[in-house]
Amino acid sequence: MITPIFTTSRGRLLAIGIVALTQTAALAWMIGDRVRLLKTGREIVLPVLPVDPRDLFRGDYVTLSYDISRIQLAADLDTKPIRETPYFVVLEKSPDGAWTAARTGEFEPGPLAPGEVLLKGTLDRTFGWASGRRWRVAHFGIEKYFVPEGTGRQLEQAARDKKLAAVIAVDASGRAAIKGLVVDGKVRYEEPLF
Amino acid sequence: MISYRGRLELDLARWQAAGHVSEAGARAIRSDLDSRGGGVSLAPVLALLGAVLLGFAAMSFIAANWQAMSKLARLGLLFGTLWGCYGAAALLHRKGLTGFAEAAVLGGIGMFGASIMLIAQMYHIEGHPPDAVLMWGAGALLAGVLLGARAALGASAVLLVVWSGYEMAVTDRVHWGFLAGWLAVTAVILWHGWRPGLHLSALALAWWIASLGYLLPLQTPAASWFAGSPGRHDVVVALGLLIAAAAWSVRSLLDRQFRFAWPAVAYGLAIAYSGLIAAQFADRVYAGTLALLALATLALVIGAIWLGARRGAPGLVWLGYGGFSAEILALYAKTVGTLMGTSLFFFTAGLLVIALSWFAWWLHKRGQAGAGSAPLPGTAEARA
Repeated sequence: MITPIFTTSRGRLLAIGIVALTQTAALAWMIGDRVRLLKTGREIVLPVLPVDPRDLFRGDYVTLSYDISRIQLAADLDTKPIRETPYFVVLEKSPDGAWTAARTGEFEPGPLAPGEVLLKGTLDRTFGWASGRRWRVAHFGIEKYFVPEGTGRQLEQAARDKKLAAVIAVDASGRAAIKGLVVDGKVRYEEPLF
Repeated sequence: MISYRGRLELDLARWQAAGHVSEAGARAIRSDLDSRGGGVSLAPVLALLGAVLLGFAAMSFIAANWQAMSKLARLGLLFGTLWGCYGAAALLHRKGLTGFAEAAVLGGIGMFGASIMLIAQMYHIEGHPPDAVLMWGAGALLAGVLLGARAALGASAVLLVVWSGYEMAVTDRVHWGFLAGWLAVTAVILWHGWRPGLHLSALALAWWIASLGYLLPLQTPAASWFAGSPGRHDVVVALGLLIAAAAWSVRSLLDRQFRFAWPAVAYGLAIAYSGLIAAQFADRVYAGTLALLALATLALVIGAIWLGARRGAPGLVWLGYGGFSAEILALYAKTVGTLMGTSLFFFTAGLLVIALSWFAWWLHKRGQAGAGSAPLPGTAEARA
């Protein structure tokens, strides 16, 4: 070790304590922030779309794709859009109980009507650029679900049979977190807070 | 490779025999070296490596038995291990085993990173993934600042590059945030006077400047010196030369403060070289442009060798030789069978190498004819 600030033996202990406490606090903040979102966020259920099976299951987690994750682009667009731009979706509950996008855009929408839920995401890669069937993928932070080893294939099959849905908690600013997964109408994976 | 101590013993025997150094002088030199601790000792280094291995063991154990535990038990395990590492560091420090304490600190930093990843996994936190690396690096830097632990500082420099590379991969854009992180890490390294850390810092900056060549947007195609090449590697070359020139003009200050004048010049030239290489081989170029760029590269390399040989910087000479070989090999791979043909290439390369060897010999002769101090390429003349 070299020229430490705390040169005395007691000062050194103090320094180690500060490092350990700060790192612990940072981790605790990560957990607290997420628990608050899961506890107080508004609950919505989004059906999971079947995606390319090679993409869905990657070892220990499944990739979830939703109706709002895919955005059709105009065929005559001549420059590739910049990645990592903000993207907003306002969801409303249709009479049959499904949550569907009422408005979407790259700018924060105005005041919400009662019953509407705002989701804030980012726009990522563009696909099908050469073929002209151009679409973009939007991420909302609810696309990755870690599952116990060996159960990924079942979820994959359920998604292909359109029997999979995700329970999502959304806070007022539009941040979202996965609360659990619903298979065939039954809650199969539910996340305890601790 | 012989250690410094080993080389010194050989030299001392020779100098004593030649009468340059007295018996008492040799004793004084040896005791001076002993009092300075003699560089790196093996045990703490092994402890550092052991800490890294234990970290990996912990992570794979957790990953294997993760699902069997309740969430609270998993969190307890993560926080417990984190505090265990720092507790061990404190204990080892009280016993005066600073090298081992540093290994324990590195273990704590590893656990901090593992905890970030595993908590993100437990709570399905996705967010902006590079932020997790940034958080990890900030934790490492904090340990570096407060404890002055080199391993922690080194880890923060490495994590800075990982963070920035991740950002670039996700956004396909220049990552300006790197500069803020680099300034912070470099300031702490300078403040602690950790010279090898300066190399880490310089390498990180060189890597980032090289990335500009790929990520800076093109203003107009003509704005690039290298017509036909889509990258902005011209900016990389210009920045590298600027850094080399700036380092050269303040070399005495750099040497007095940090003993880092020659490395700074060499890093600048290496950055310029990497820009030239990228312009020639990472992009499509016209044959004429390629020839011009290759000539410029050879001029840069020979200039570096000349400077190093003339001013006694063997590192620069070796870098120049390496750069020359890499350039020739890359040119060969690119042009063979297309532009010049294999035999013409070998002929040209052979003439160039012979010209270079003659040049080196001429330099050596000139040096000998001069002040009697012959800065032969590759000999350590001016280390100070």
